[in-house]
Amino acid sequence: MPRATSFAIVVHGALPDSQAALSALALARAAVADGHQILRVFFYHQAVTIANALRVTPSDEPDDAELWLAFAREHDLELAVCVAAAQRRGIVSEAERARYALPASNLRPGFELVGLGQLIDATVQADRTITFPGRS
Amino acid sequence: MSKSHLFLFRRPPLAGAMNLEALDAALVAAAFDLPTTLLFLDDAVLQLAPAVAHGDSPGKSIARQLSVLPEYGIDQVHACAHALARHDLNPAALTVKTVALEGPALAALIRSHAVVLND
Repeated sequence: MPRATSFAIVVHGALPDSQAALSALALARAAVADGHQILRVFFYHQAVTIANALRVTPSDEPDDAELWLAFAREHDLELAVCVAAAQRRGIVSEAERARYALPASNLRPGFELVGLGQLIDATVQADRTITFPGRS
Repeated sequence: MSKSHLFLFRRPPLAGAMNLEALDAALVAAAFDLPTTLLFLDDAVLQLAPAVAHGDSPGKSIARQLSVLPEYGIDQVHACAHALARHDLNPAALTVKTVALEGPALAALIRSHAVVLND
């Protein structure tokens, strides 16, 4: 049997502006189904909006956040979101809400705010790094 | 052995926070003592133009970020020669020391890196 490959998946876009998160999920599903390992998923740039708990997806459209969360639960996977990019786009955890004296927090449970070091650590550890650009 | 990292830049200046964020990721890689190279393609070569880098455009200056590259040990900056020519940019007159590469050399540069990250 061929050796399993470990992947770092970097996502730069999310719905409704980009299909990147859904494309990345399709790759992740195929990789796991084929016996490979997803080391870390890192949401960067506009893709951090996937972790916005206040985002409402129309009922007749796919919810990339819920789909990723279900996949992560099933495979014990970390969904890492760049903390700096998230803050720029108004996505904060309860700890940051308190730190910056903001009126509310809105980080979707299941996503974790991390630093860019986690991205580089994943690219170093993984056999392959695949980026899904946000541009359509 | 440390993995070499190549960061691709394709977006034009004033493309929002993404240019600076892409550069931030490169700086972190360099801070991890990883061999780090930047490659500017398409309209992203305009990020290296002095008139753009030092202009009065709103937002954080890309020039300030580019100026810290040597402090992070990043001395490998490349750009697509075709894109530079299309924008009438002289490689010797850019804000950072840049090596212009033609198509086959670009492909070789990309192939020579263990990790390639798009902007």
